[in-house]
Amino acid sequence: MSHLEKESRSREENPQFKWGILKALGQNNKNVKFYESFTYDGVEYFLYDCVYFNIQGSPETSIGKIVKIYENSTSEKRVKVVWFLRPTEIRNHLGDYVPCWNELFLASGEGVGLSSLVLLKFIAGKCNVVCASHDHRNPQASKAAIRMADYIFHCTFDVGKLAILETFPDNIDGVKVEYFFNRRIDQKPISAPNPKAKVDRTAISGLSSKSGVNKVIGTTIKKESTKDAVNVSELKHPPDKSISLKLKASSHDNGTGTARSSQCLDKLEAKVCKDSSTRATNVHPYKKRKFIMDEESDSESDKEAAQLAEDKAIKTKGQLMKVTSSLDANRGNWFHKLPWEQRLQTAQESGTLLLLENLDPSFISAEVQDLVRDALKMRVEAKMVQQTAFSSPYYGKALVILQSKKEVELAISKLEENCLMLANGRPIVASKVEIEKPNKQAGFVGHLLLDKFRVQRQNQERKKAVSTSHCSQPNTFEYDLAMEWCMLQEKSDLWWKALYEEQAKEIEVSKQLKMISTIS
Amino acid sequence: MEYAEFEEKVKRTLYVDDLSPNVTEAVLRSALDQFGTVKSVQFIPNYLGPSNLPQRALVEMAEPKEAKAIISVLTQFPFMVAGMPRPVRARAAKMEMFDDRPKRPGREIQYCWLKPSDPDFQVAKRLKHLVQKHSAESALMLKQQLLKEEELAKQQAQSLKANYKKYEMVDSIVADGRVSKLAKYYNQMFDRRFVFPG
Repeated sequence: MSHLEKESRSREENPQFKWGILKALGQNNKNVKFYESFTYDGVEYFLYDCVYFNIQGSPETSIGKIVKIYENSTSEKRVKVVWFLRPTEIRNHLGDYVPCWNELFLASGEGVGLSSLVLLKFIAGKCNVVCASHDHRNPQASKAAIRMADYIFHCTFDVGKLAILETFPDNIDGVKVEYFFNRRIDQKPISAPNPKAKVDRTAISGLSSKSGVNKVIGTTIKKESTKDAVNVSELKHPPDKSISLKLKASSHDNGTGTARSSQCLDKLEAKVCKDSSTRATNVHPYKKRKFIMDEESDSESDKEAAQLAEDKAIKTKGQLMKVTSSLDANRGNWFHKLPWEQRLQTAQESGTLLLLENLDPSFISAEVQDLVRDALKMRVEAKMVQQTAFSSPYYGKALVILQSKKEVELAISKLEENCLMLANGRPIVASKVEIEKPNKQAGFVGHLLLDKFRVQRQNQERKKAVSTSHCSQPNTFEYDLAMEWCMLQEKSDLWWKALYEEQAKEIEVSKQLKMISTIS
Repeated sequence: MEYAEFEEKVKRTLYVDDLSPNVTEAVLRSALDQFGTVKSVQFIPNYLGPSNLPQRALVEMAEPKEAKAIISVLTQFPFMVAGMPRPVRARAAKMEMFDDRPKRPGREIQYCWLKPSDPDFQVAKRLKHLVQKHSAESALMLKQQLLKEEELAKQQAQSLKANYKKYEMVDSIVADGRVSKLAKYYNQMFDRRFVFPG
């Protein structure tokens, strides 16, 4: 790389330029010349190529399609470019649309941002943009082409209406839309290998052309950032905060290491980070530890455990029993007619309450009742404890009301002396428990009262049961305080996630020990 | 309720937490009415947790779109219900959050009893210990979390007090004319709007 740097340094001062085929002369002004191609800095650019531009004031390159190439009477060389918009640039107008990490939007319609006349010196290299739209005018790109592409686009963004459109208009800024779709095979291909090939061909530049170097760097860094994109925003979040590639044609110090700015700095971005990692948190713990009894599972331990259960059935004398579900679904009704809460209270007071742990979280109350009936030969009432945001995704718990204190003692001792094992390797744990009394006066922290008058007003509002609900606006003190809460909430989500991951590991380890002991 | 119906209901339901004890069903309904039709609100009882746990509720909307919209707005902007500045949180509901679930069709539960003489008994015992250990860890974590929340609330109350004191002080010296006297003395302009914008 280093000798390329040196060569590129020398090229900087005098980027090479050469006009290609002259297309036409200006109608109004004969001094204006339109071309079909040009060579800049060792790379040949053609009409309708997609190109990277370095625009001042923007951390990222801009991508556009060349629709005109000309030199005007003052010898200025410019290209007319129709822009491809990045998702970040239109993030306020995305709405429900979730773009892919390398998706762009072709500008269309009329208005600011549709196209520009750019000086040639701002060109930073070729870009492989493939159209993945199913428009009948678009030659469908192969899956390989889409994968190899630097960017893809499905839709256009109308800069006048500020909306994403899936249907393509007949022309964009006066240019027929067919020029924006993928090129037909008989036309000139615009695939990635080409610029490098052309670079090789030009006798002077060879591999040391800056744009060629940048392209190589661009593709390798793109690959790294693909991984990044997947890690940081796992659920298709616009890649505005995690990756920005700086491909400056003129900066050789950054040449080999293009700056990658992570933009989680200001609070709003932090909120967006929260969004993606919150979602990731939500998806992961549960999905990983979902224990499905009779469907295929995706974790090794499930398969091992299932295998183990079968082994046990063959080896041990204890039989693998099936729980027969009771036909009478409303069986429990003859017990009491009081609501469950009250029944729990009475059970607590009379000592007939039991907590069963290490159940499969997908059990339902009726299944627990049937299990206890079959295994312990007791008729009970049970209810699965509802899972919440911080419940362990691995363990299910149930509150069981038995008929008498004696039964409770009996159940506990039975479950202690012998082990009641569920088929996938879960020994059931029983214990006495004290339930919390519903207490509305229990301290809730986090709500602040500004002044005495406010308190009175709030009391009145409370009486009217009118909610004082609203979204906090960013320019208030309240918003700053709310943000601190969001940070804490975010942190706590991460703690829980880490805890459950640790616990999952410990369970794995224990189960493997189980395997070993069975074999020996 | 049929299983498929239940699955569909889950998709339309949100889990909302960090609710203050003042939040009732009526409050929650009117807070979320703006996003669509609230079909039902069920508060999740806190049987096992510590007593100062905030309320949580399952809110069933008419359409999955509405539920998604609420989740999206509440994750982007802090949303206050019946008090501030602690925002409420919303996420998609999971099946296990409901207590009246229908049985999954075709599911069979199998079990067996292990006697102390069984080779796996020891391992099972170890697993049981692990369950209790994990349960204790979760309880501790929850306690720590609540402590942290208390700390933050205290901090914020103090900072709010301090800010308020500043305003009160400035307000008082403006009210009793000291500031305008000083302004005259120093030949400066004092506009009330410098201190109390808007």
